[in-house]
Amino acid sequence: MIAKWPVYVFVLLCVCYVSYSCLIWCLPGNMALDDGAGDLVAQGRMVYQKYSCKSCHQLYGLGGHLGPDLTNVYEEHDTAGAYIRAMVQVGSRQMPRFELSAGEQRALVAFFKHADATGVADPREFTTSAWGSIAPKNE
Amino acid sequence: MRIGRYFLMISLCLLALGLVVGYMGSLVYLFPDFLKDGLGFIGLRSIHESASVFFILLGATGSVYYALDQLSPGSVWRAGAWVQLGLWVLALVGIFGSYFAGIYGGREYWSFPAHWALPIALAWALFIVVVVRSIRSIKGQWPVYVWMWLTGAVFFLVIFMENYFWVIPYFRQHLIGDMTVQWKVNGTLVGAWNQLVYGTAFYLADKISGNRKVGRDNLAFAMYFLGFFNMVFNWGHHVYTLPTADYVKHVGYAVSMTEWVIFIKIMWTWRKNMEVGRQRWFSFPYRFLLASDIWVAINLVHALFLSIPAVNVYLHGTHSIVAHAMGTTIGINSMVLMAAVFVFLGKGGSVYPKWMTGAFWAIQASLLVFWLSLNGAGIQKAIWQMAPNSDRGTFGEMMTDLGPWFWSFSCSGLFLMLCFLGLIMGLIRRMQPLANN
Repeated sequence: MIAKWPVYVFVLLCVCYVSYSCLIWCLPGNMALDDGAGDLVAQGRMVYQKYSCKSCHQLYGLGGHLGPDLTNVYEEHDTAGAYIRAMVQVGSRQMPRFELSAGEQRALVAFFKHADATGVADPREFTTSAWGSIAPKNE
Repeated sequence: MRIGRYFLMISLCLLALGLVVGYMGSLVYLFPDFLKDGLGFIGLRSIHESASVFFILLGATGSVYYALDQLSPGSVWRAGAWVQLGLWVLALVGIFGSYFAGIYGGREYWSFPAHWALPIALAWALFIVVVVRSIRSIKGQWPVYVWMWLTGAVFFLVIFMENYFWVIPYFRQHLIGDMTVQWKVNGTLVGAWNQLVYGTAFYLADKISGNRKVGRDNLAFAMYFLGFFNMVFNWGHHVYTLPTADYVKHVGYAVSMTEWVIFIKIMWTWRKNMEVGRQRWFSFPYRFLLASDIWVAINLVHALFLSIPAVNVYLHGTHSIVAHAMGTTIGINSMVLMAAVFVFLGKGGSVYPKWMTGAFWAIQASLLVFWLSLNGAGIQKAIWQMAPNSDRGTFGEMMTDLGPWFWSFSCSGLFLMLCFLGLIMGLIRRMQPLANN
């Protein structure tokens, strides 16, 4: 006789996957940061992808390891917009220069401004609890 | 089996490409101007990542086809599999052509322009059809590896489509929610292809040992369902520092701790595996399977510590995470798939010269040095990340200080590449004659 229990467990886990995924897919709407720059931020995200910035850089520690994390690059420099534009146009030792249009530069700066407003990526800004979880210091 | 062989041969070519380009990428850490005005690090990394991922996907596909044809001869729908292969070739030409032309547009691990995902999705849909048609003809209770192949095949397609939700403005307009979805996808996608690879490992263990109970006992099913459960929920460790919903992190942390069960099970069966290993040591597939077992244990302990948020926060964004990615793809996925190509393509027995045994050991040793170097660089960067501003230099100075680790990682990477290439060439020169089907 063929056992049925693997089928039941399989179906149960499929239901778990769909339910949990639906919950996660609601997050962008639930966590929207209303800074009135949604479209420009989305364009900036596309510029970040088009030039594959993630190959070398990180956002919240996720991405490449050749260059620094860019989550809070906007906050780290007094003249952030000009600094970002200059870096992109001139490059550095390992970073090539990129030829972005004025619109792309504006969108990229808006994207980094938005990223900076979402939180802090610096690991020094977290506290740890006794059972091993972490939380941002400002919470 | 002609179609299975083509999948495996293309997969081996992709492995060779991934290794060579990966090594070239490591040179950028040592010589910043290397290929700066050509492909650059962006091109090298994109080619390396895609070649490595496609090596696993096509290697798993070819292995599953070979295995299904052995389980139920003639059940693999050849026409469907050939169209699938054609779609893959189209995608590979388009994707690598885009990289060489400097055209990107995708995300982590999938850097190519989004439209090239379409032939991959179509090819994968055909893969599901071929697998389902074939496994329906298997009589009696399905062994656990058939369940794993079905799970991996179906879920890969579902998650791969989710991987492109960013083309919808609702997702890409909200960075944190979008990044949560992106890293959910990256975690579960690896879980899906691991089902295909681990299923192949179960099948090979079943075949090599001649013990048909290996893939049918309750413990094997328990491990499969635990892996499936982890695929669904255990991706939260990617986003511990992301200001996303707390439940994502709590669920990820709690579920990841269930992996201790897998670790204990590995330790429990260790001695038995070692005893059998001594008897079957002449066999290359067995060597690779045993090596993958050892790398599973090493990477599992590493991953378990990285899954603890209080540890993760220090090592997140460092080369220790690269060690985790490289350790699992090279140490586990590649070892299982090398075992599979030796079983399905090789002549077997003692036709392999002694230098190939030497190359096998050199791969293990150089991978260990490679993995330790990345972890060393990761720990040193973690110390820099946590130091107060007054005590730490710039990012560039920190990267210069990591130089010795990068030299070690690049040199061991060169050795790893040469040994893998040698083994692949050694195998190709001693392949079974092609059966006429």
